[in-house]
Amino acid sequence: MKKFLSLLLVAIVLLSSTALASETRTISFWYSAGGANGAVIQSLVDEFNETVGKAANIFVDGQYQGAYTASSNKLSAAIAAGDLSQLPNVVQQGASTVRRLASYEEVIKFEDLLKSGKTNMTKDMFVQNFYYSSYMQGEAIGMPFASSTILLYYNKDAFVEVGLDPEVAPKTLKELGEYCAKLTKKNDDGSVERYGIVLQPDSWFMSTWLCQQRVGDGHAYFADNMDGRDGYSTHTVFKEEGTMKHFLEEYMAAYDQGQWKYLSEDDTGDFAAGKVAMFISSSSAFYSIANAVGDKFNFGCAAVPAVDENCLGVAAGGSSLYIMDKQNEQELADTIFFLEYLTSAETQYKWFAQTGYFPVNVATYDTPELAARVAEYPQLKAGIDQLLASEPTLQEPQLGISGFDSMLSEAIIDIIEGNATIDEAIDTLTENVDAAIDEYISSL
Amino acid sequence: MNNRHTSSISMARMMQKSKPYLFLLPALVFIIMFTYYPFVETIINSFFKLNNKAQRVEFVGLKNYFQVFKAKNFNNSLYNSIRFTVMTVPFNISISLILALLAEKKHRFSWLYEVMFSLPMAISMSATCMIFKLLLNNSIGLLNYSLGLNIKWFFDKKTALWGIAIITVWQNIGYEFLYLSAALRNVPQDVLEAATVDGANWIYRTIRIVFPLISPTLFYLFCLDLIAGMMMSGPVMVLTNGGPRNSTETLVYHMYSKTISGTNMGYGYAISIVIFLIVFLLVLLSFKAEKKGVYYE
Repeated sequence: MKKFLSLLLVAIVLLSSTALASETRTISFWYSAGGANGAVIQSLVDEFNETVGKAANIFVDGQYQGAYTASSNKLSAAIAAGDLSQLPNVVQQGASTVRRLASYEEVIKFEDLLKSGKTNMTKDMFVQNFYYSSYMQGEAIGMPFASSTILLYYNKDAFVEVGLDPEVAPKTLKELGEYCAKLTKKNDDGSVERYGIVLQPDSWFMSTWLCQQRVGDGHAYFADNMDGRDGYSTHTVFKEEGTMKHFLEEYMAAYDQGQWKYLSEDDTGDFAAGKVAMFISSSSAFYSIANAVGDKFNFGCAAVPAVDENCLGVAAGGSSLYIMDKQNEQELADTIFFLEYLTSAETQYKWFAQTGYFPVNVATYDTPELAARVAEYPQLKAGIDQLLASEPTLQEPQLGISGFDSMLSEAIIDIIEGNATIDEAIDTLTENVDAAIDEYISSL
Repeated sequence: MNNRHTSSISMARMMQKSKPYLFLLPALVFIIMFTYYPFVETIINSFFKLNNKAQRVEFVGLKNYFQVFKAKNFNNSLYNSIRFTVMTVPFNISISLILALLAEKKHRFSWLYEVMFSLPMAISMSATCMIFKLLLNNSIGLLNYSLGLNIKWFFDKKTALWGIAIITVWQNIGYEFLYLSAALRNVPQDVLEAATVDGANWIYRTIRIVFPLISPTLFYLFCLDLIAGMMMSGPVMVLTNGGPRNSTETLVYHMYSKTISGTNMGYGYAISIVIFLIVFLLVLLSFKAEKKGVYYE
């Protein structure tokens, strides 16, 4: 009898597992967030697999494929190999590679998917600033997912120490210079114990500072054709429009007063160690910064200081999810099902509450959970307010060139170190960027 | 019977003759698949314009090569690679040689410092880079702090490549020390003893007897360092991305950034052939020098 029972049990287990194996369909998801944020993505995937995914017999195989660059190279290699079975069903990619992704016929454009009637997701359910992150010639290529902006993080205790109101952060570059002058603390031997801020702007910060300026009816761009989002950029416009000069004049006037740290090494480390009183970083770094600071001091978040009083808004950043066309309707349907779960108001709240990435679903902003979270961490409010006040087209540039970051930050360092005047630096910068754009266009 | 015997002998002989080739076969298959085939593909692709999936679109002749020599950063990256090689090769070999000479005599605790000297090779390149990045940090780094220096290391175009050179030398000491101490211990003791009897002192013995006898190992390490130096790119990717001001943009990093971030595939293929030719030429030159300076027993 015992033997029979155990045999029966084995048979049941075997049968049920084969039944499961034949019914559960797997889709693959490559993500690029490592560390704590990566663990959160995996936990969302796990939750899907254990709940709605399980009910629908879908298993999502979440794989960390390295940071954006590494993951992008892997995707290019997989596409170049021409083997559809090797491609992920959905992949997270950074904002800098939108142009390349738009050129792959293996990518199903998100805009096309929304129009296809295969999903109940709509364009209006997304925060438009993030929807435009993957915009290329009038269409969103990817689905907004890990969306963030830059924020000013500041040490409230240091503010109090030098007699500044800890609830009021500098609003413009001019004020930033004044604040930094007050916050700088020197040792007896003249060495700096604490800088006001550490700042080494590259294209990430500059897509806010340059592009938030007003030109005509809209905001400024680095180059023509909406920074490469409306056809290829053929040349820079920041010199002829005077936006680079205006920014640099404001920036240098503030620097001359504030004498901040102009080479960035380990900004979060410097901030947590009290070596700088302020710094600018991604909203998605909020919890890792909170962890690094611990209870050493109170810190606040505020909008990034604007170039001047007339400038407003912050460029959206982060990454989107791209759906690969594996020529399999069932897998596509399963992928859409998973993405609908990921973008739901509830999942987006969990994502926001654990990472500092903004919810991409507008419905999340009205939930009581979000209100409660913001009450608990008032710093989060500054980021949300800043985001919602920004024009959706304020985005990172898509010039197609490499080395743009270092060209920008080196131009600024040249001026600070006295190797170039503002005009000379702009001339060199314009020349270098235009040359790089020409080279890119000629390689097409 | 006799006939069958001869045939089995000839079979055995055939087997005997083909044996070495059979042993070579597995390695050969892999070398052809992963080295020679891609190499030939690279040569062919370098004459083509390619799309972003690396498919050939159009034959363009030498256009990609002209682009390489015209590129603003090519000369700079060649210069950086040569500079880096000149910085690292002498230190690699001299430091590990000094350590090997110090550790030559077997003692009770030999194993301890042998392990300690060769330990750097047990740490991965990226981990080493991350550790040194902290050590060489200009405001909170241990090195600047303990020596009272104010060097900006990876943030100054004058020192960034030196920072990478320090890391590379430190990392290479381990295995070069192993090679050299093995070579030193293989120097026949009787020759050295005879020289001592004849009145040769330690310095004379080392320079006139030991160095010639270990010269094949030294030459081997020199070639290895030369190639590794000219092809260095890993630490650049981890630490500086070619900056500041392209002062650490080496040949291979230049190829990587143009091809991968810039998506200019044809250029990438052409430059990799150019890099190959440069390094190949250097290795040929050192083999030329080998004939004069290296002594084989």
